[in-house]
Amino acid sequence: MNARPPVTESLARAAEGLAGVRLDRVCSILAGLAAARYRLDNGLTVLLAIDPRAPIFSYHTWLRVGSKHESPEHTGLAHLLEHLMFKATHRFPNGTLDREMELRGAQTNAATWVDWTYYHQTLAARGDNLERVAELEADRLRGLAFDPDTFASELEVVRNERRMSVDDSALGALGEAVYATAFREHPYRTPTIGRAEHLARTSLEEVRAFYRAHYAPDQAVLVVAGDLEPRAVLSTLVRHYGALPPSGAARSAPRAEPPQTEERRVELTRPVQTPYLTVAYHIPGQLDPRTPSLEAAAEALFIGDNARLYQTLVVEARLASDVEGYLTPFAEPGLCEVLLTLKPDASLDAAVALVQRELERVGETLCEEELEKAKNGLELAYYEELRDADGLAEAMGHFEVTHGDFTRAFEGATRLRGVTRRSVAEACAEVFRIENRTVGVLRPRRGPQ
Amino acid sequence: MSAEAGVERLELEGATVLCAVERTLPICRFAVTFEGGGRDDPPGGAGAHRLWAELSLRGTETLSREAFHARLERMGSSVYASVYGDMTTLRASCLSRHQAETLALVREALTRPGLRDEEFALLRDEVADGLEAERDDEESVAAIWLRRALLSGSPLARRSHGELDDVRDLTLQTLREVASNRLRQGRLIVVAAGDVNVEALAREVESWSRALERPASPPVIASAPMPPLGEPRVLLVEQEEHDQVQLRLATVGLSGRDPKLIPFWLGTTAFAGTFTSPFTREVRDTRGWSYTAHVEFSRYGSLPSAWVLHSAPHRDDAVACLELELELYRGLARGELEKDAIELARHYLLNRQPLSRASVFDLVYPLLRRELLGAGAPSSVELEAGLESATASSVRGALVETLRPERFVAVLAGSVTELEGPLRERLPEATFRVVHARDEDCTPFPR
Repeated sequence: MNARPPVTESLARAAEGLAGVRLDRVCSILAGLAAARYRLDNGLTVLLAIDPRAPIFSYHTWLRVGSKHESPEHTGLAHLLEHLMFKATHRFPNGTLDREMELRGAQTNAATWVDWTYYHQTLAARGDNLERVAELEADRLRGLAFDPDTFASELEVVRNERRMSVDDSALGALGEAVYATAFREHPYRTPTIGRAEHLARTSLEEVRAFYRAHYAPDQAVLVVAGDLEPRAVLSTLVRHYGALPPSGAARSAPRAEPPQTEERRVELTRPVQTPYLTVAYHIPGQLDPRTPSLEAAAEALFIGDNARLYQTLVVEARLASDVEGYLTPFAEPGLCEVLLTLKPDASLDAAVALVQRELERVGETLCEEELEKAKNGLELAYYEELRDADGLAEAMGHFEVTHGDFTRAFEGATRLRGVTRRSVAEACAEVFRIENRTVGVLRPRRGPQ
Repeated sequence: MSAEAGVERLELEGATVLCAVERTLPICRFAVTFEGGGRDDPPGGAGAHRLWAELSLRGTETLSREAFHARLERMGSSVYASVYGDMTTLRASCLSRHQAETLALVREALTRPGLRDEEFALLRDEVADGLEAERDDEESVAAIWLRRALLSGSPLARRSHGELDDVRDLTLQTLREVASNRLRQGRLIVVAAGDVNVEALAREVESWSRALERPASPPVIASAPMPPLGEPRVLLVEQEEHDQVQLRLATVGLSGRDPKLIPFWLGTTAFAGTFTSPFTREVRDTRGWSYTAHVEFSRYGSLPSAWVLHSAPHRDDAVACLELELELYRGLARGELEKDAIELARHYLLNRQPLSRASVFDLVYPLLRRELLGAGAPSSVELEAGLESATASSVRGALVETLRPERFVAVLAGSVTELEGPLRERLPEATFRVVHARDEDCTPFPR
């Protein structure tokens, strides 16, 4: 790859002569693709990636606020606000943003999680699409109107979303209970969608205050990725965002989770047919040096037909019909979750013991074939994530907001190079300990039939 | 059929290969598809195609299951089976440097599957357990019973995914017969995307065709016809301790070859296919009754596809929500759709065409579907032309001819028994049935 191909040059020069914006960093990211970071004087961070693979662009607005920034006594604000962001602003009536985006054929949505909130649109790279999306996004970043009637109906929508994803969902309820048990101090313990009792008493004023504190240019990262000319993008963004005032709000670091010193258990019963089991272990944050070794272990444990847990629990012991495993991509220490769909007559203790045995063994017994599997599998997954402009923007936005450095999104193919059987053994020995685990059980409670 | 821009088409002995090549990322995807799927499962054998396809990946004549997957997984590659009503597919993903080795394993699975007794028994148990576990998921329950209610009495009411009673009774011999029919008679279509070595792929596919002794022109697969939908039907599916009701209001739409498809699809999108469409606005935004409020309709069906309105209101709102949805549906079936809504949907669908090629990998499924539909299926160019030329009158006409105000099925899944009385009062003309979510009756409305 050339050190400075023409596309990198055009990114490097895009801010030259533009008032209120400066280049911060430029780099090649993949064959033929390059990206840059700029800073506006009001604190707005802009990431720009040139991607000519299709005549489209993705426009992401990432906010450095998620459910971990809420008070534990009042959860769900970040997510509810995400819903309200599609409503009227002081300039534009209700439905304007959705209608404008639909007229332009945009694919549009938003998401909230523990560390962040983001809004995204993907549109054809033509006409005044960029101009209009920048105008509407800049407007709602500071100008949301908070109409009481709209607030009331959208709050009902969110309460219905919670019923669907948690209250009436056995697995949703189990997940919420496991996080609330595994974490005692860190706000990862609270559900992003909000507790039902908190949603029931949320007021418009509380959401408005949350918005004022967290929605401002100095709290946001814009990511534009696609088939666009860098200088035109940058001048459009400066025109629409340059005059927005920063909030100046400082965020305090969330309370650290103290080390877990003994196993925790939580048990639910629901009118389901099948028992489910979650075994969760505290793990380091996504960019911790130990994480690549844990990812290699996770590939051996969870991925593919020869995955150790599938072979042990489904094929050999026949205690489960399905096994999944997952490492959270959180800023601060999160969880490695193992979810088992158990056979109706399976022994829970036997299943937990086998999970523990396999997790303890994987560090010491990982073979070269499994290490190669992990490296190739994670390389494929990394490229899959970057398959289009939206995937590119999402990866950049996540790493910039969660870890302060978008370039870490492009380490995918290389970051496992330093992983060895020894590093995997050390990381697994530290994490997969009984005293570090939380066991969540969902037992069937049979109905009248 | 007209070609798609940027897609290379190869007609080989006994197979068609479509390639969308893009080399920015060193990865490839393949979909190896045989025409014929769950609709062609034998009577009492729903799930046979699924189990055959999955079993073919559990070891070959020369490789044990463990050895097969060790080779595959060491490359980071994956291959999995998916079965629809009208097609059976093996999907593979790999780093492009592993294309040859990955496809060599696909060849082994296709041409020399092990189909061993012990693996069959284990797979059958796993699939049965999975079907049991699906009944714990509200949306799956609604989907299962909607299919049964809409297609009651037809073999199509059985899911390609499998029905519990059928799967438990399946034998390896049934799977062998399914495999023999499909591999030798079903049209073979291979779609590839990404950093593909096209010449090597063509040589590989030809070798499959030779090994399977495939005829140049395989016989056409016959499928069961869609049953007619008569009087209104309301199906209440009881699940204990649910505050929310999964509500589906459905009828039968059009096939992907129907001449009215494009105006019908445009009208469907205008009615409930965007955030600002009238159905979504009324159910979700105005009343806050449901988080989800949208229409589901596939324009790729070889048979007329189900046309389904989805919502999930609280139990206390469910009756009113169904009443509102019926009022909106009946209006639509009478052609009541504002011109503004049609124009917005037209712009929406036309302007999002570039997004359908956001990545070459997005082309795999539409290419496969178009190829299966054959003559009569619009290309992307024809689709755009059709959207441009559809008038408000042709859109309303297609809706009126396809939807009937009194031909619908409503499925309400949740703690719904107490809703029967109020619903009977409001819908005296409908046939009612109350079932439990775990019942295995595939014919809730016998003819």
